[in-house]
Amino acid sequence: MKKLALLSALLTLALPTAAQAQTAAKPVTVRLQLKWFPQAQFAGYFVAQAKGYFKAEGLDVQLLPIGDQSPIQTVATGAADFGTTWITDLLTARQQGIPVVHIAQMFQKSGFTLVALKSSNLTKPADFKGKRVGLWPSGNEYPAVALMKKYGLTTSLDSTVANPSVQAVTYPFDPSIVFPDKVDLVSAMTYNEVDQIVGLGYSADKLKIFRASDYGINLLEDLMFTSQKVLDDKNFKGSGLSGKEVAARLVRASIKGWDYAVKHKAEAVNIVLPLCGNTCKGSGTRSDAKAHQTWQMNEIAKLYNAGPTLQGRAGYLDPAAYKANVALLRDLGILKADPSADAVNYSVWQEASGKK
Amino acid sequence: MTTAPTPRPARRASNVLPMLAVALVAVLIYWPLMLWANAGQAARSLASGADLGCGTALQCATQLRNPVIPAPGQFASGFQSLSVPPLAATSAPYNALVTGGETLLGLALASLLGLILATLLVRSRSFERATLPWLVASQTVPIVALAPMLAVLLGQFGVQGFFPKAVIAAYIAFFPVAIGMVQGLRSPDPLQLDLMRTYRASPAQTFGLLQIPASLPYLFTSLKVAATAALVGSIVAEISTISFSGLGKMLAENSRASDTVALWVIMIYGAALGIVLVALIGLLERLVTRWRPSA
Amino acid sequence: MATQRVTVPLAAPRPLSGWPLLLLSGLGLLGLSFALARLAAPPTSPALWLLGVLLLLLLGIFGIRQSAQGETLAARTVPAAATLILFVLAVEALLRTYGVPTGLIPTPSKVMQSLWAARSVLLQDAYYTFILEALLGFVIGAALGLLLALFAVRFRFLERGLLPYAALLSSVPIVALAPVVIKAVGLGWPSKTIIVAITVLFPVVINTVRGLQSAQRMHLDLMHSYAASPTQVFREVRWPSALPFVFTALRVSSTLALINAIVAEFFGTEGHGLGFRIQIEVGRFGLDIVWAAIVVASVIGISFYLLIAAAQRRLLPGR
Repeated sequence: MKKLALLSALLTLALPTAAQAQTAAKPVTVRLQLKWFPQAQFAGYFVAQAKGYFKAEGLDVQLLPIGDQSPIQTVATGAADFGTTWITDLLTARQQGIPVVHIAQMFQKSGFTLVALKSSNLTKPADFKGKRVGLWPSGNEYPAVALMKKYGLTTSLDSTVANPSVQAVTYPFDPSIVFPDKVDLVSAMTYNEVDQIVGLGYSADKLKIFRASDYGINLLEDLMFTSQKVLDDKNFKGSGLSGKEVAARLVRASIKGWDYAVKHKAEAVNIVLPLCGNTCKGSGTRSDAKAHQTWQMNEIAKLYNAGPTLQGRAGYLDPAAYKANVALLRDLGILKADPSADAVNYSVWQEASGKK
Repeated sequence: MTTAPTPRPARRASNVLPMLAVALVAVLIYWPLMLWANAGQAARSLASGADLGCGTALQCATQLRNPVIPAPGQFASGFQSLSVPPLAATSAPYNALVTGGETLLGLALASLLGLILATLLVRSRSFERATLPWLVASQTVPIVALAPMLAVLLGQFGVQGFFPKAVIAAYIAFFPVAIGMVQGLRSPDPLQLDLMRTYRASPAQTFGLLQIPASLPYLFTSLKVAATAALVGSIVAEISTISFSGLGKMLAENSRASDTVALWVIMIYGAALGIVLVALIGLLERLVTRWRPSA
Repeated sequence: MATQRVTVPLAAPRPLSGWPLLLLSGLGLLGLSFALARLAAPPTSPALWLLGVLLLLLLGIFGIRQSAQGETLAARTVPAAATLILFVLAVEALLRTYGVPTGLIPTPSKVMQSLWAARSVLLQDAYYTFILEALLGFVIGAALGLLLALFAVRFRFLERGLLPYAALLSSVPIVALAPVVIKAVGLGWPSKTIIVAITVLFPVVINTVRGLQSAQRMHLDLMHSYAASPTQVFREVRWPSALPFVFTALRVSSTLALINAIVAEFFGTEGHGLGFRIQIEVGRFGLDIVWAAIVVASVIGISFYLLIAAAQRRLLPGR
């Protein structure tokens, strides 16, 4: 305990901002729901944790891993206070009446791809017709569905289509279960599964990678969100802070963690590695956890260092990008109507960054 | 759902030799099956241009990174990496203990709730008529599918970690236990009930001294049936909710990490856990019902 | 089964006396739901509505008590039916009172609408999950189980060597088995059929062997004194005495078969099946479809169970 007090005292000295005046009080416990098991995808939050950025904001942050569920459900029901997820997940949840609110956009570019073997001679999305595509359930299938819908293809994921043109195969995230024997195309994140497929023995020159963003499907991924209830809370968990203030502090510390992580990748990887068990490993020839996470950190940095981040506005949801995402989802019929204005709360980011 | 307790057959030491023989046959089948299954997989991978670091399909069969059936060496190293040291957070024995604990707590909860419900069912005819058909029907419903949703709902009330998994295990074990208990509470025959009456026993005494003891064998029989289902419940709950330990969490993790060998190892631990749980209940049964004259 | 209670109805029971209360309760709850549906937003003071729901439920409980008196057919069936209907109506009213979003818990009426809207896809899913996976797996598992049991009883060596394993393997949790089998066999329906067959196999083997051995010594001795052939002994004594045991195993397995097929689908499918539908729609907050799939699965599960129970009654009258 003494050590912690000393540490927070030091940090208070090092970062004398107005907010720190209150950190002498008991830190506020905040549960942040990650979208996955611990890995470099969340390096920014782990760095913020390890470097004491959260503590400096007067927050005691628990980073929760998740399995088959959507983070939306744990946040909406109050099992977690904040969460990270993808924008389609958030907007479809709102459409179903779940009051969740976007507060910060961490990744500015989509890392979603569909991967095929070059030898399968698939060169453009229209070629997917009649093929078998491996997809992940739990709201992770939307980018692929959007890509296929854009090219007039339907999938068996739709509970209203009886004769789909593409056979969707769901599998529990491990590409080796289905690829390349059982599906022609498989979902892969640039920062994770692509390397796992390489690990299966298919080097990059044997693969044809369809990046969703190259085909105009740039659905934004990792963002931070919370529930309307938390934002409206005048006294978050009896801490004396408003929910919005807590959100701003969390976002501020997270952005700081992310900025540090993408600048010091090796150090970030070393912080992440002890936190994950088997989930940090790649597969096959690329199974070494450190190698896989180093590579993941590099790819993640590309998704973070794009768009607004390059203009010094990390965490900002570019309204133009948001509009484009909504328009795309509406075109595809995934969203039935425009989300209401309170789907995104810009004031949290403004308070966190001090920018307009 | 009449699952009357059956007397346990006498153990025979002479089972050892036949069991060994069957095990030997299984091993003899395993070896060519493993080679055949893996070689097929390897051949397809090689044909699609994968670089596996080995020459022919047969050579690759024992060293595939993602084998269909692991080779003996892979089993050995998989077991070692997941079992040593046994109580580390990432090792299977520790996680099996966590899952086993959740399941046992769940079974205890289920017994308590089952007893209460069974008492109501036996005492009130209108309650029985109103609910019993649905209790029986509920056993045919895939309640496991509801486990994730239930865990989310419990999380809302700040119930997290160990307890929600036990609740889900209880939820799954609860119906068979309740129905077994109803049978048990009704098992004393009219003669015995008459005897209690001639002793001027109060209804509460009849219940506590005759019906409850008479229902114990039924309780244990249904607990043994329910144990595996409850174990499935706690593992599914671990997979689908926030969890930091347990076999389900390992299963989810390793399936994400493409570690096929680990999945096999965890399956064997899961099987062993199921067997141990049933054996534990059997042991408890013998301790609790020792006073019963062996029929 | 239960000991027959000696209760002779002295006065004629009044089976219809519960009806007014039941009707009042049911219509009242229905009325509440309609009133709530007319409101633009969920009521600001839900406590009053909650009180209404609870009062109406209480009335309903009294009604159920009343209608459960006596031994008429109505007294045996009405309470259960009323319980289900009132429960569903109360859930509907409560969910509307508190404005619970469909993405968390859908109202029963919404579930029914979605069930109707998605009927063709759900039927197709049910075909995969029930016919191809659960039923086929059940038949294969049961047939193999019977065969193995016959061998085990015929050859003592097999019984001693195999049966202990069967007893052990019957307590293997299916979730541990599923990922490995699906990895080995593939994502299509056959992998699920195999999983179902495995989970059905062991209980059938164990119960059948137990049943075949349950023939009474006296009967066997009698057959022996008649100089009956082993086939005759089997047909006349062993098999009839084994049948009740076999049916117990079949009934328990019939419910497990469907549940296990659904759980196994959580570990990978080719885009068909009720388990697949549940999994994918949970992720999309389409909980109305999830519940619709559960309703379909339940109806099938209950029908299958009743079918097997009816077959047992046909083949084994008097039990």
